[in-house]
Amino acid sequence: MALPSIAEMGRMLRAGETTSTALTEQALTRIARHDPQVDAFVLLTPERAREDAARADAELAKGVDRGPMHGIPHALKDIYATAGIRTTCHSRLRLDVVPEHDSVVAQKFADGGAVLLGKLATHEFAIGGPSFDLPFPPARNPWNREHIPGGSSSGSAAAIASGMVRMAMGSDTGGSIRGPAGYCGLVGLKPTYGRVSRRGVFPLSFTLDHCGPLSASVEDSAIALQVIAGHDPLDLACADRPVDDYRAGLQGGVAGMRFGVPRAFFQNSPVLAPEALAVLDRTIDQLRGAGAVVEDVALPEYDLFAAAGRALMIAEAFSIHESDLRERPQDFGRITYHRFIYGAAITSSDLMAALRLRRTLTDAVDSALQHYDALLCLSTLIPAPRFDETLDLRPAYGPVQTIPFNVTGHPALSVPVALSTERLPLGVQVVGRNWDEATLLRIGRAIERLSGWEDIALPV
Amino acid sequence: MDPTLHAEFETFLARAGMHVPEDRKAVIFAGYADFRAQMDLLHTRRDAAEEPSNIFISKGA
Repeated sequence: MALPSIAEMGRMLRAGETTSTALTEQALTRIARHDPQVDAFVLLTPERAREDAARADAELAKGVDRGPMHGIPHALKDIYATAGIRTTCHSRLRLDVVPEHDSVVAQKFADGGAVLLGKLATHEFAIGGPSFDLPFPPARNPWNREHIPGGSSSGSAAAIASGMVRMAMGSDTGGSIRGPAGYCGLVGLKPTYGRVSRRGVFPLSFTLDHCGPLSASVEDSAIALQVIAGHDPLDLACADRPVDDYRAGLQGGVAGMRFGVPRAFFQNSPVLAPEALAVLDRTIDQLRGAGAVVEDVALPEYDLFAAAGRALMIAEAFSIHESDLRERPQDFGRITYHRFIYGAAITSSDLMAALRLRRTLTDAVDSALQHYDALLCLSTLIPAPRFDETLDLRPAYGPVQTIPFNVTGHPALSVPVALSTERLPLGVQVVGRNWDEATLLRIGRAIERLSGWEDIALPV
Repeated sequence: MDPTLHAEFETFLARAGMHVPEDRKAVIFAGYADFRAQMDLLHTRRDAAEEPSNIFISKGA
């Protein structure tokens, strides 16, 4: 049986209707049954999980309440450093790395009494996949194992969509939370750049990386963000901004809100699936029916966002991996190496142009958001493709239109809304104003409710 | 692939001290033209003297 929502688990724990130990055993049983089919986990930590659960049960019994994740099972993408627990980045280059310290996010979940089940598959270094030439197999999409779950937070998505866990942490540099969420029928939240500390999370690209949750519902993501948001002076990009109550306004609806749709982003894309466009238009109709104003908005061309994002990402990644690319090229998976090696050919002029363009693009999105409460677009232009359609080294984010908001840093949320004719999930993407994740989540909750997605059962 | 682009990419790789494994060369060189075209797009939308975005600001300023 899949786990109930985080809020419901929390209620049950505090009402004495269950224990963290029971929830943890339920999750471990589910993992034992389903993980061999989807390869979500690269490392299980059952002993740690049982210790965490026993401690949570003892504390809750004594009236010690560490917050909304106390006693709740979760898991981390294997780029989050975990003290004493191997952290590989799904790479042959880091198979023996056992960090001495937790990443800030891992520490916050531990301080909040959450139960760590293990470490989750990723694309190598959060970019190189799906790939069969790495030390661990790629995660599979629980809706159809012949299809990819998206990446790079592939294991996080596969674990939640299999009902092994309600929430798992991902990271998003070009769409690695929102893409897998779209392909697996989950909620994926990329918070504002600087909202969550990245300290202890292996970087892909310093100025594009964001930490955030994937989850089975908007409320689950709101709870997770509540635990991990906040200033970290040792992550220089982490901002000292107030943290809202992300659940307080969730049910507020969208009446009176205004949405802008950057239709030119996707309207003429050669890869756009008609049924993906149809579910976006259906969502627009539902928002209008709920009292919102929705109209098209003009933004700079999508290709400019993509070019700036790729230049910044690959330049920064190349600077991180340059030595290993030179000395140990065969230890990288083929896709990872293919994506990183072009960093050798980015010129100073390219990089400066990307930085200057980034400011222009960010200003354009900010300007649009002065007129609209949020932007509405697609997170993925197609349902999840099959593995054999993705192994030809095409650009990483072709059918996933998420990188604009890594370039600009605005918070963005992927929300599942429907199944395709092949019974694969389709989602929409909502983009909010900086630091206003509360409104973003409120909109996401309205879309979740209006879409009827809550009535669709998990695939397994 | 255009021989000029091929030579350009070889130069970049050599200057960076990168030796692309033989079994990976074909696909990587084949992708360089698309990569270069995407980078060239960055240079099409601004005048040369427009303000850069990443001005350094001293902490004491």
